[in-house]
Amino acid sequence: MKKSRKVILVTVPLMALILFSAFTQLSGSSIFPSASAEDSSVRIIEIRAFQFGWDPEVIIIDAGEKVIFRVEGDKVVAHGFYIDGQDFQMYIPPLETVDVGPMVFNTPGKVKIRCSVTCGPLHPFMVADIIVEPNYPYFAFLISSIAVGGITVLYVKRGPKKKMLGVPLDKEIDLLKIRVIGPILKKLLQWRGIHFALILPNIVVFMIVLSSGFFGNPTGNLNFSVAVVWILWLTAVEFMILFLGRTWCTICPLPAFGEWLARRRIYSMPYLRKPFSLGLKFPKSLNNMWGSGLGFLGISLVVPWLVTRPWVSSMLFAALIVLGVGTTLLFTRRYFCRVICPANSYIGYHANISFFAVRSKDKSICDKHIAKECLRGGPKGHACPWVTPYPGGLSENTWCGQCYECLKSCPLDTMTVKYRMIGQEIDEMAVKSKKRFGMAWTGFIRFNLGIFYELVFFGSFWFLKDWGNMGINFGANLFSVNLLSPTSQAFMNWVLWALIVAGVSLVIYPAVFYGFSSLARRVAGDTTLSTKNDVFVPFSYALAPYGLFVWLAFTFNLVLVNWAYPISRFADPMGWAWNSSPLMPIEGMMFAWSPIVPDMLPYIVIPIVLLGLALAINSTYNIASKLFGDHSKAFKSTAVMSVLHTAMALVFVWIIIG
Amino acid sequence: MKTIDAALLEKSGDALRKYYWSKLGESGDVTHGSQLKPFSEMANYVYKAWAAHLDKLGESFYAGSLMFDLCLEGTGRRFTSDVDEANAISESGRKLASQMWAQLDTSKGDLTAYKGMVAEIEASLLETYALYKEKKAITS
Amino acid sequence: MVSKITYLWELIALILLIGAVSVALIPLMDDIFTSAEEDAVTVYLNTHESGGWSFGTPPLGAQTQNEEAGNIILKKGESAKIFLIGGDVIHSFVISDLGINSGPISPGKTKVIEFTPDKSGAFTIYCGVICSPEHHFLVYNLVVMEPDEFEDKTVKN
Repeated sequence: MKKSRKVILVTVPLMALILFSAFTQLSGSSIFPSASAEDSSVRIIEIRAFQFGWDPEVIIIDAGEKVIFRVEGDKVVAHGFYIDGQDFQMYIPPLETVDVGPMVFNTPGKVKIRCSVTCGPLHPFMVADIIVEPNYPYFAFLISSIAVGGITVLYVKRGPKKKMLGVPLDKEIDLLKIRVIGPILKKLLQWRGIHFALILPNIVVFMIVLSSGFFGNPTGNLNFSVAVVWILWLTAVEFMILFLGRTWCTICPLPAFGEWLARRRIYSMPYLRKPFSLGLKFPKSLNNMWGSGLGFLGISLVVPWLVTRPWVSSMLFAALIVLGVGTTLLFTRRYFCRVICPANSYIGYHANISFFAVRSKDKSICDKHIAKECLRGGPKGHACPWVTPYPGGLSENTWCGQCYECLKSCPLDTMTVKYRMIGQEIDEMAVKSKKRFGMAWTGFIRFNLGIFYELVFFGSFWFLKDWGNMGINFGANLFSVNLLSPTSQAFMNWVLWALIVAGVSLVIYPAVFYGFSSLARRVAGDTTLSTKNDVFVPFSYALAPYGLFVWLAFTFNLVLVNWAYPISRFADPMGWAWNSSPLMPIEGMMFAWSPIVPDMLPYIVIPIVLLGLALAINSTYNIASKLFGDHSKAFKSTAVMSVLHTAMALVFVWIIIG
Repeated sequence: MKTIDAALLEKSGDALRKYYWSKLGESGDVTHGSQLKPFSEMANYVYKAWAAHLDKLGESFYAGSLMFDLCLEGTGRRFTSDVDEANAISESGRKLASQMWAQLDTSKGDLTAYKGMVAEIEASLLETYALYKEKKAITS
Repeated sequence: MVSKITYLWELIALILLIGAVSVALIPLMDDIFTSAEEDAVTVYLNTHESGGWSFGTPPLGAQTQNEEAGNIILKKGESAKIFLIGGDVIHSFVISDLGINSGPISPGKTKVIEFTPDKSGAFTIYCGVICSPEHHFLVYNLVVMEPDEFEDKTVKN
């Protein structure tokens, strides 16, 4: 029997088993053996709540075992006690002990204990683990991760493909030519007012972010600036990247004020092209992804504060707006977006595997065209503000901020918006410029932070959160900023946290990746290329799909558990118990915190990451093919890299359900 | 005062005839009207841009694009699919603008001299236009 | 070359932009959106470290004649409404001398307490649910005045 058939024969039934157990878990019963309900011995599990974790942080229970949780309240504040998949939210008053139960956990796996009463800034992340033994799903997922890795490697072994799932890989849809919607979309994108029309509502939202952040309720999940931005927006952007490319950048208000000021116009074309700006030349050495990527890492060093303290959130955005205006007044074009905005690093990096792209309909026309108004500007549209893209020649999404200026300026109507298969250009892009270390490190930072945040925010290692949080238990708005002053011990712990985060993203993982790249090259038997100069950076582009899917998984997890917080904030942005607001004129749109199918989270989140794993291995093969020009070498090197990628998937599985 | 390169004038006239005048409606006598509007507007722009101390290279390109955009507007179009048309007119416009700009540089913005040069160019273009109309009348 | 209509639309755009930016003044619209009733005394409950309890609707604070920093002032014999807003964590509003206990108030939730003070004097208001290390500092005053005293005071203000 062919080897590949054998593998499929084993893994497909295994994955079917996982799916089946998922369905049975949903229905409440289980296919796995459980202890008989006749057992009368009840185990009392003592658990103490504190800001912001539980002691013990991991509880191991046998399936079918009858348990009572003896929950000891905190000394200083009230908490709530909630378990995924159960329908109670117990109130745990301070200094009191509450018995919860008896209850039986029939389904093996891992569920979380969560706090259900707002007890301070890190409340949404106050989590402990219950592992119901024997933890069959954990092993099933470990094996299926290896299976996905293995099957994808076998898939690429068959050589370059022309189709995936029946769809030709080079199929492209011109979105502006679709029946009915296409012409409407085209008219909109070529209308000068579209940019302002899209940004204006966003400015309203941003003003509410600033206002609530500075003056509103100091606890994050009750405040629009934290709840909506770091739960809803964060998730929305990840999905937007996959399906709509850099569409967030299209509607982002941060650079808008500076751009309108420099152009001396909000939407129309000026007569004379005299920007209100010093028009300085931007230093070439800074004009790359490093500024933005390191900015993203920098933010992650204070992320426990950023995503829980309204003041910190608003200060970041206020600072970014000031920087946006300032940079434009100095350099005219979108250097703020390119070099300073931290979101640019990941939106730009991952947009390369998006379905969505702004491209020329016919590059041969663009080649012949001398005036190139898309690049230099013309009477109907400004020169591309994003600096590096020559719109007519665009073959990657990294730096195209989708402002659609080129659709307006091109007199030949050659620019359009396309939909195409995932990752079509990533291999060419990876191989074309092998020294883009800024891009490689953005990939490393993003990938590692996605996994790390899943561990920190939803894992039970509360001390990691606490280190990053500098041990401060209070929220902060403008009037209580003084509360954000750590003890020196807490600060030292934060330094430890910063070293871990920065160390793993900047040094450890890249070093491991380098090692694997080097090994891959050698196993492939190639002697002409050097790892550092030719292989390392191109292979890192596999993290473009992989990192995006890890973040899709993490943010989807975040929103499924905590969706009620951001939705309720539209009616009450300040956290002052309003019933309605300018953003939500309908009264009573407040929702109680109620996670959506939290006990099924592993079954939703892990497949997303495994899809990313498959794409990573597939991308590696495509990149390796272009790099080595030889199927056998490409396959061998991909097999080596797939070991690393699969190992990281196993790490993720362990975090989620191990 | 510098004179415009005769070959450039001929090329510009050709481009306008082929892609602009032939697409205009039948109306029009041999005076300033829609026939020369693209060029005269472009000439206005070049002067103003020069006076505002903008960059010669960038604004010459823009002037060419401006002239072309006005040709499209004059013929009731937002776009064209003909890249040769785009190149012919915007390149003519750019080169004319460049020479006009050089003239302004040497004469230090002497408006009279500039106007003279513009008039010279317009005269040459009008001639080409007249010839074109005649030929059309004969052949039709 | 730029038409006057364009300038007009630019102006409209600018007005819209200024309107959008002024949404930042939304905190001052508290009177429109809060579900508190007009004659209620509003108490916004926060931990002592975060600024303590504030009397009067945020952000402007004491607005009505019944509100003062740290104090609620009521007229004896007149029914009163206390509108409680949960702030950062769970608090409760207790006046044990009058037998008033709101029970735990969750962040973002509200509760209305109605009562008629029938004796004048000063009464202690305190937080009845431990809410932070400085929880014991959350002590405030309810002052119940005789009707004529109350009228004098309000006239003075």
